[in-house]
Amino acid sequence: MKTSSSQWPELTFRGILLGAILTIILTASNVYLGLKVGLTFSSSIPAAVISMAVLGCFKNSNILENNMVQTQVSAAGTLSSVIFVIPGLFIVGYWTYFPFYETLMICLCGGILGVLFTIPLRRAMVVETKLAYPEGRAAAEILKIAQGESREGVKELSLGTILAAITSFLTGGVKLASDGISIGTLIGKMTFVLSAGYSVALLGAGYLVGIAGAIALLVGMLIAWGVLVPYFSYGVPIDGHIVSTAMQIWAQKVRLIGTGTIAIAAIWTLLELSKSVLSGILALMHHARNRHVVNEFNRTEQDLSFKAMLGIFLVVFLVLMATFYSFIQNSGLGIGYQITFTIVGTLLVVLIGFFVAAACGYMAGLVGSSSSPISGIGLIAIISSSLIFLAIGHDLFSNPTLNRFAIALALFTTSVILATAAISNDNLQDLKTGQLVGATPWRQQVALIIGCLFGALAITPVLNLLYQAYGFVGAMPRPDMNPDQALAAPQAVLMSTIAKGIFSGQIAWGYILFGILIGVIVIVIDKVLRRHPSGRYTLPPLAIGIGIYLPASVNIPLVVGGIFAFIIHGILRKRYIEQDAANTKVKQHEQRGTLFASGLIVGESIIGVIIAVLLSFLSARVAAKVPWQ
Amino acid sequence: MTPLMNPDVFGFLLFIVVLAIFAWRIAKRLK
Repeated sequence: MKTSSSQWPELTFRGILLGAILTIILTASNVYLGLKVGLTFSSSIPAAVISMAVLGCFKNSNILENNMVQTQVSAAGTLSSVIFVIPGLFIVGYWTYFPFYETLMICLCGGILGVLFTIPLRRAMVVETKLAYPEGRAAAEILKIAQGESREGVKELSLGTILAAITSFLTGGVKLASDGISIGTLIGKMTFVLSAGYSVALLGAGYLVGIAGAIALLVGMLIAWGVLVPYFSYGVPIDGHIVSTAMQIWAQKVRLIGTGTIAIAAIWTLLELSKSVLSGILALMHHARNRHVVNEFNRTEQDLSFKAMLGIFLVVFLVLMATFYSFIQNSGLGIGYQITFTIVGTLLVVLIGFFVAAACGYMAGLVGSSSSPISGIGLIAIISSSLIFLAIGHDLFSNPTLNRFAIALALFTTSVILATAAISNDNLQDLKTGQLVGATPWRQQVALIIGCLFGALAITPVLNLLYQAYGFVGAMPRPDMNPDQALAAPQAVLMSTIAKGIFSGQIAWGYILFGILIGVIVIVIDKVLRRHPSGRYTLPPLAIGIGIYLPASVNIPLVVGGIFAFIIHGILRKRYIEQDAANTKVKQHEQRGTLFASGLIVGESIIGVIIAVLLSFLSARVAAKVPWQ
Repeated sequence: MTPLMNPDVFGFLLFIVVLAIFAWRIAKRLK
């Protein structure tokens, strides 16, 4: 079915303007939620819905224009993941106010690198794979319905949306229903905790992810909660509640193991994909030489040209160096060290950035953006950058002031890498939507870069506003403030703790190495399973790592959704087993399921945004009394 | 207090109800 036309305008001024306004609202909400509870939401779907409603008022709007608004806004929303690191600079006491230029450049340069790095990956990870991309597919379904393509699907999508909106209003809004439950018990001297989450959006995402991902997540979760937590809790005195003691063990030890598994699984996945990625890069260079062949047939295959990419990359590289220098120049180091750290920092961002961009893009396809452990990727980045800075300036960092500078430098580097990771995670999701609706990839890539610019412009003032209004745990802007209201910024606290641990030589490497060992074992098991003649069995190692790393309350609804899809599709296949065209009929049922699942994701995302906007509005009223520093 | 007024029970029931409706919408006979 043809869903696009080369005549339709994609990137329009009104679209970019609408995107800019939505960016400010959604980014503000995401920054607030991320600092308060450590969660952010995928903004592409709310953006698609709002864009359709607004642009629908114009007679000549089209699906590709809506897709561009969605692309631009989701990039901006995703960029707010930098708040998983930046508050760390306050927590270690290196920053006492928000330097506008540096914060802006962290987001902008990191984001644009994320866009550039995923361009060569598009062919391998979007076009030539069967990865699920749950949010990307959901966004495409919504856009297609607005286009009037599958009118009968409106009913399923709307029903899913309404149900999800009601449940998330009852749980997140008025809190009449809880969003999950945890039960703990002591067996012998070991703690066992069973948790369940009730997010229907994750249920929908699990349905789209499917059975292989669900089983891997389940195995990861069983390793974490069935083996590791009970093992580490053996004989540990219960401090308060059983569940909170177990959660502490999981957060401090088991998550580090999960990070090790994710790291090795990510490297392995990339090695397996490297052939495809390389051919993507070669194809880009080939296009650069044969630009004269442009027609409707290959419009949907055209990425940003190699020359344009190289030009943008060089500009970003130089700006990044200037930003690093500006960060380092007040450290008190000699000029030689200043230049060394500037160059090493910039190179680290580019090299680790490319690695994490590829890993994050793959994770978006495997388990979806909302469930991707971006903070786990941040942990890999903070560990590698800290180790490299430590190797270079080992003798310097015994001085307490320089030691603090080193921790801050590692956090600064990580924040740029995290921006790259988050954007690439979102980027491939958007490019999947684009592929499904027939968008032009290079135009989408331009929209993503515009999105990074607006996102960076929005994040900096919002962060400052929230810091001035509430402060971060352990770093208050003024002495007379209430520490109970401080924003928890849980990931930033974790990253600062790890960086401090590395520079003082007190980090528990055992956990990370053990995680790597688990990863290696799973990789071998996966290899063996894949040899089965039916080709049906896999155990994705990355999903196992994610299962260990994510809270059980996030894993459970994903797993339920995947198993649910498997069971119901099995029943349907039996129903039609003796009929002609059984496969087509089962596919029709599956299509309904996809629409309903997309609705569940839409409803919860939109209510999430509304609740966050209301909360941010309340906090802004408090902050209005505080001057900008 | 009825069990429904317990947020834990209510949250779980909501999840189950949504799952049941999900199953019904997928499995409903094709026209």
